Amino acid sequence: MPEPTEPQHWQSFKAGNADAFEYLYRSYAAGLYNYGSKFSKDKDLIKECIQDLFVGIWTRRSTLGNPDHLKNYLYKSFRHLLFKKAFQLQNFEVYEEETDNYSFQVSLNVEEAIIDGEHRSKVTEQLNLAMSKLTARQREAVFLRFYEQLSYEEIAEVMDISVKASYKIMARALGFLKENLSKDDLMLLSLLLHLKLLN
Amino acid sequence: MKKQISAYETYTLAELINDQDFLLWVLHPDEKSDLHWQNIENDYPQLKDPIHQAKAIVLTMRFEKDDLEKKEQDEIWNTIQAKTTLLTTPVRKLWYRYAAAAVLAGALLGIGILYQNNQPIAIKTPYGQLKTITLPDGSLVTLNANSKIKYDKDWNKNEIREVWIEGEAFLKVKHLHTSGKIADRERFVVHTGDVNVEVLGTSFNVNDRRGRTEVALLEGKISLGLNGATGKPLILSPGDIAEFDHGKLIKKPINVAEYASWKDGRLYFKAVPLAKIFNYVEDIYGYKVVVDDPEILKKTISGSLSTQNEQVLFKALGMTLNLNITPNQDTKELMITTK
Repeated sequence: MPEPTEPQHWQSFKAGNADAFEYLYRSYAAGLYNYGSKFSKDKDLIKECIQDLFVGIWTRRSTLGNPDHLKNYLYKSFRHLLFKKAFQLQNFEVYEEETDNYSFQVSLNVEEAIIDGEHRSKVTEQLNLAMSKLTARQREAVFLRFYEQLSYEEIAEVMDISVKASYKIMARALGFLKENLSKDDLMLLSLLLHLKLLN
Repeated sequence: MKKQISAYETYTLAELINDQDFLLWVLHPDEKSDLHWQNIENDYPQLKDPIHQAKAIVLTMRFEKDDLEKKEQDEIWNTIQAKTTLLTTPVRKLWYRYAAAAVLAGALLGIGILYQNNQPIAIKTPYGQLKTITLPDGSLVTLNANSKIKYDKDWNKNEIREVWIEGEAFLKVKHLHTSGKIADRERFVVHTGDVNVEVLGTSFNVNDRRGRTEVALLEGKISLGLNGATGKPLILSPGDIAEFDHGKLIKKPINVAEYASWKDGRLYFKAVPLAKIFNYVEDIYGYKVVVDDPEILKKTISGSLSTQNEQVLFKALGMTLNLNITPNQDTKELMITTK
């Protein structure tokens, strides 16, 4: 018997199959944790949100639809839970996102084998310095595009913004990185980041 | 559109990384592009090293990953399982049972209850912390420490307002009734383990701990009925307290201030036995009270104490009663000894 596809797992999960539920959890737990860790260093908070997310979808499974992209759906719900918890809002209040009123910390590195010693640490340092000058929202968009390889449409969904806004955020972020990195061979990295994100 | 192979002859590492085709190949290789770049390497051996370096840089530019260890992943899963097992069977059923109980109570109180598949909201307070909650209709609930409230997220305009409470809460219910026949939406029902409290708009305190329910009324009028029982509801007037103990509802007059003072961070006592105070300390702060002499429990206390800070409360109690009160944070025991 062929391995069930994710939509098939989703259907079994909605029908109350515990194995399918575990499959979904195992598929996304590490990714969600990694994503969540960029918002907060409070590991327990992130774990709690993962827990609440899965307990929540299990409880509501009969009323859930069939999301086109399960990953987006889970990331989006997870992000929402995280914000709600982090801002300690009461359950029934709808979180209204204020511009960049949150943190999103990423750190980039270049593998040792590629660039050696001093040069490597210089490259890494400058790249991270440039990244740190972006807004949280821009960093998050870059992360979702570059690391999670989401499309602009998907980024818009997860971050709860318009598709147009997701293009705009990214263009600003990349423009900034390019400008700030263009003076030495860091341009290589900025351009590669740029292209990797755009194609 | 791919460039001619010859165009790459003089490419440097930097130029390679800047090259769209090169990046496309590295990021999304396919047979065709594999062959293309293999040909370039074969024709221009001097490009072999730069190509490998450039490829490596592109592929190894990484966001640092925050790892969730296998053990942690399993731990979270165990909790999810524990919670969902509870949610799928007993708690779900419990919720339905509440609804069923409410229907029974409805018969008792002359209310029809529509159970809707609406997300319940549950809020729990930890030991030593109060929380004020605004309900969907604007009514206010102050939840005492170690207490829980549950209610539907959305309140339908045509339905009774309902909340479920465990522990202790002070409610200030928004009055919606103006005149004439009382509509369902103007009713407000508080369910505890054994008692249903129906009100229109009023302030009252509900305490549902240790198998006993106490309802103290500050303003307005409320009616109480027992879960799953028929019979005349008990009507309370301000200054009354209704106590449900061992299957019976009893009404008696009290000093109401005593009962709801906790919400303002103070406790008022009038000849209250210490046993009762210690029960309170156990419920609110999570300590197990240990006394060296049971006679202590018979002492009574009158006056007011601040409950904002447990250490201050213990000190004040100790001084007033001439007792040593020593909390042990490890065992969560509160040792009470005579001086």
